[in-house]
Amino acid sequence: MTIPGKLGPVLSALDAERGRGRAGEALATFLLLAAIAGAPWFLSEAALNDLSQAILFGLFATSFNIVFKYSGLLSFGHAAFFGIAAYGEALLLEAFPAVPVPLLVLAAAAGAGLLGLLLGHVCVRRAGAYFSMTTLAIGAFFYTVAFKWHAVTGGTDGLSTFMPTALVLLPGWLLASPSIAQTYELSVVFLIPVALAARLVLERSSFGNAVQMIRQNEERAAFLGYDTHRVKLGNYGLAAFVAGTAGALWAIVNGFVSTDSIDLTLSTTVIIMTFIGGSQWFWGPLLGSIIYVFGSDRLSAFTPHWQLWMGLVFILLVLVFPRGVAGLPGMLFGKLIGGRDG
Amino acid sequence: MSAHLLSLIAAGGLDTLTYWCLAFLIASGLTVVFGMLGFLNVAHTSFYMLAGYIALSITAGTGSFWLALLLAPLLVVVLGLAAERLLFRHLYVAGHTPQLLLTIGLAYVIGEATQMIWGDDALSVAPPTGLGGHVVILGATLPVYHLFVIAITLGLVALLAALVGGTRLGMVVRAAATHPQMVDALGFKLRRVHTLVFLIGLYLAAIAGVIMTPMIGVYPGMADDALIQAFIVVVAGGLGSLAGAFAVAGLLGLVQGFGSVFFADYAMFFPFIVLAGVLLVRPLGLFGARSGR
Repeated sequence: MTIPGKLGPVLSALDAERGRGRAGEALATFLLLAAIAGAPWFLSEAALNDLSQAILFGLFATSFNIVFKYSGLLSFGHAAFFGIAAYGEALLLEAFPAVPVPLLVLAAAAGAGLLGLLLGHVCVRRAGAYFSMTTLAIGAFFYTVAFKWHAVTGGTDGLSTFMPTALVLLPGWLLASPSIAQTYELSVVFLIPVALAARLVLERSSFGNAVQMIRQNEERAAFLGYDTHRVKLGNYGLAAFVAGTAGALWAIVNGFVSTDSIDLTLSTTVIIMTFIGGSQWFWGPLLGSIIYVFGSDRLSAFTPHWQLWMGLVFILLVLVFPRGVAGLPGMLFGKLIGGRDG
Repeated sequence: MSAHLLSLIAAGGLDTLTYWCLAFLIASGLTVVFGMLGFLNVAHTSFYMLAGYIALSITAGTGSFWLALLLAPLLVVVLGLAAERLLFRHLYVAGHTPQLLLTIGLAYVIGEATQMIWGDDALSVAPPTGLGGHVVILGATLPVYHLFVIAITLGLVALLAALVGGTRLGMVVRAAATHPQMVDALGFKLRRVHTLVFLIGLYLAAIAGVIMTPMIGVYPGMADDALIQAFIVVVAGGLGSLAGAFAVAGLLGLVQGFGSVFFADYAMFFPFIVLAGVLLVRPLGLFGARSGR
């Protein structure tokens, strides 16, 4: 399409810039995912252990960001979905050790997704601070359940004896006492397709368009006939499913589930991870989680009070680079060509 | 009515009033600042925690709880003023996301700094001499200290009500809450009014932090615990509504006071039931009128 007049060159320049951005983004995505998938071949066991935590928290952060980036809602109790699925996976593994693991992960994640649809009825109706405060209360409620319901969750002791002697990957394919590299690859096999599918749904489907439109102008979307509540609810359920996948895998990788996987600290940590990486890039939270986990590992070698420094770094980051690490290339590039900070 | 039941009611009633006071002290500043400035401060209860720890040190150092009660909240207010000048002031118009992010970061820093200074064990403080005893009311043996908590809260609230309702400064504050542009146009320094309101809110929370220490001691998670309670009070009361916060703090006091007498095992769940119940009946909170910003 040619656009006449003065605007033509400007728009095509913008298009070209956007095209370059897209190519760069695709390359960055490919490199990040390829590095994650290939990590067992070039990382030490200790580093791989860190990375396996990082990518699962990263998937969880991606879930947080699905609600934040696409619906504009900042959840303050997101650990509920991660934790419920982690406990659910532990209980399922204990009850059905012969059922293939993928089915159990799917079941735990679907449970978290359904819970998201249910709880979303209460919280997604309202935006802004109200949403954040309500989700905090919901998160705190599920933490309290996990803390108090000793018979099922083990209370503060947690659950640690649910791993079967051999994981049933597929009927007839058993994995006895898996190594870190094996559980790592198991999580990668789930993580990358789930995240890619979620991204596809949000960026390329009509549902995703509706979600984004509602964030931009809810009133107009409602006038156009969208049931805005249901669309936001659907997105919240999708995010809860993704968080549930991460939680279920976390239970398998660690062989241990405690209130740490459902508490307020995890809900705030995931916010910090997301904004370190950058909320405006779909893979930013995953990147942020990797930076957070490895950064805190390095920091904790210097001082037991690494959270103090992490907090200070985070405050500075929000003030100076509100788009996080993933926003840096765009910022530098934008400055270089003197373009708008889109 | 049996004497036993009467004494249970007396004990539950006193607990109700005590928790009512504490919950209101903690949450009132949060909701008023939100109502006036649209500013949601996640680090609010971190200052409350800080007051508790500072009071602990002052009490241990000087032997005087009263000195701690006087100085710790003032110190916290000074720290709050610094935080307001350096950080919060730039956030009033920034929208909720930067506010939440930066105050989460601050809560992280305060929490970790507290553990750095005081360690991560729970610490306890004895009630001041003269307030450690018990009185018998309606056959129930009740801690005198709870009566003191109620008295000091009532005193503070009465003082503030007199200040806001009966002085020229209070008039400006009230006007700034409802007609900020007009107050600004009339030449009052709106920013100073905002700072004042913010600091008064912190002061009340800090007082709660100090008078709480002889009851539950201090521990690293106390800021988070209080934050959850305060958010429940603010959301169920209606964002920004002081009257709503007062009412819901009362409900929380009630379920805490009587719930812990009759259903001790489930007491931790009652605040959530209150929240769910209130939101079922009134989705905007008890006194909520406007949409959350």
